[in-house]
Amino acid sequence: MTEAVRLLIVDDEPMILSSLSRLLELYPEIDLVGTAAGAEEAYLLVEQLAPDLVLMDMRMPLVDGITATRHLAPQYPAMAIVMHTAYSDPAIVDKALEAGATGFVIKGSGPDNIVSTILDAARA
Amino acid sequence: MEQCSHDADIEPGNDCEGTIGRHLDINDDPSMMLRRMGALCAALAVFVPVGRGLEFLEQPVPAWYLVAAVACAATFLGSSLLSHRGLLRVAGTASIWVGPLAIATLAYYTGGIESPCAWFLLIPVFWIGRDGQLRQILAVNVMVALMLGASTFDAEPDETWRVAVILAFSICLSSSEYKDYHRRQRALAVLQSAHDTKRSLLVQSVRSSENERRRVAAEIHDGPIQDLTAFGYLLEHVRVLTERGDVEAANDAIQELSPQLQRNVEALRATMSELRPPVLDEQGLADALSDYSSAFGRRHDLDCTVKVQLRKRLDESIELVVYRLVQESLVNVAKHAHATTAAIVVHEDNGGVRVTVQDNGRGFVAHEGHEYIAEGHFGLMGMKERAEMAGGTFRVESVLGRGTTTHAFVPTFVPKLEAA
Repeated sequence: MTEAVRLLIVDDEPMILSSLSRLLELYPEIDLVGTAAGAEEAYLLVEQLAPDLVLMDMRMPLVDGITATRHLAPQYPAMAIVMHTAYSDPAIVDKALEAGATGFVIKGSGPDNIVSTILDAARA
Repeated sequence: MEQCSHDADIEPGNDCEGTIGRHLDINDDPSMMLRRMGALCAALAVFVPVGRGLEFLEQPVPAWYLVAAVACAATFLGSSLLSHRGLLRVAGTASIWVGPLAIATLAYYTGGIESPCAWFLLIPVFWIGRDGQLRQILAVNVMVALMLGASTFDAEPDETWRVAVILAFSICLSSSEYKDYHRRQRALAVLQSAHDTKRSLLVQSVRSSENERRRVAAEIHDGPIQDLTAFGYLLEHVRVLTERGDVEAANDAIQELSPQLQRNVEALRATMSELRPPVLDEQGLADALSDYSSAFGRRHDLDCTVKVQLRKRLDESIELVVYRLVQESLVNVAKHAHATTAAIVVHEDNGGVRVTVQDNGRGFVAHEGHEYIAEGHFGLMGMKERAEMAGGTFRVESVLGRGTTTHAFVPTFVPKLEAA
């Protein structure tokens, strides 16, 4: 049996963190190991928990998701980072991929789409 | 001049001089031409008796004089009766050439000057262009004066005083023309300045509008988009639980949704109110400021007092400017002042409205204009721009440790835009 993907969700919006966590916990393919409310907390939790994949909010105060991705990707090359954002602008997608992201999920997508994107990115 | 400036349309991309300057051609100003015609006719009427004395009445009228007099009279009549711009221009141009020539030939005739100097007057006739016309007038009149002045050496002793009169009159005419030219240049400079100010304000207005849109877009992203996304995830959560038959967990999840939805509707309502407060339209400035400052004070632990003294409701655009100035001022107080009280006073004064917001905070070293940005006081810069765009003024008084007071003045006159 394939192991569940160890997931860390990073988002500055508490309601998003809470609702998405509860939703993804229903899927046995995903093992939610933690949540972070910002980039600094994410750096600490990535080091402590060693997740397989980080679901990273794009737009956060202080340090945004692309900057955090640029910081984490080189240090943890085996870890996948999927951007989670309300924007669908192609220029932003390019920017995220250049920073080291391996996937993209639009906020509000259905859970099947989110789960399949996470699984594909983690196993790539 | 006023008529010329109203009729001229400023062409986009051109400065005032390029557009209106063409209409400042002295030949286009009927009053200017009439004055010139009148002066020349008076000159002719004066010169002949001065030059010839009572002998004129006994002598046949010389041909040169007849030609000059008829030409001047024709241009005078032409400018009086005709309104077509092209014909006026021709009449005016003719007056420049013919008038001084008439003086010169008359002076030549009556001054008894046996000299070809008068023919030098033909040279300015070939000068063209706006400035060329001024040079033409000045040169013609000065040359006439110089020539007549030089002619005193040739004139008979008893004709010297006649020559002196002609000389003086010519100099007066030049001086009058020159003064008119400078008056027009000053008016043009004022008009150019007003045009530049208007353009600058338009640019500022567009920039402010775009900044406001950007701010609203960011608020929508940070607020409703996130909340609706979260609701979407919660609903999906309920759906999956229902599909799996876990009805109890699904019901528990639904129970949590309703109060959260209510909170988000309230937040959206507050955002909408900040964008355009309904109470401002329905009940006016005093109630709107009172409501806003009460709610703001509760959120930021600030004791706000409002005093509005207006005899009647202002134009809605002015009320909105005042409302925004108070809003931005209070936001500044909450962000920077570390104050516990804020007193808002709005009263009419001298054709406008004075808006004062005073806090008891920590104060700062107040600067002017661009230094607001350099010091990071973007809110103050925004208030300054808003007041100035409304044609008003803005200043800040602050003393370290003793609080800050913002003073804004907004004129209440709102010019009506004519339909295109």
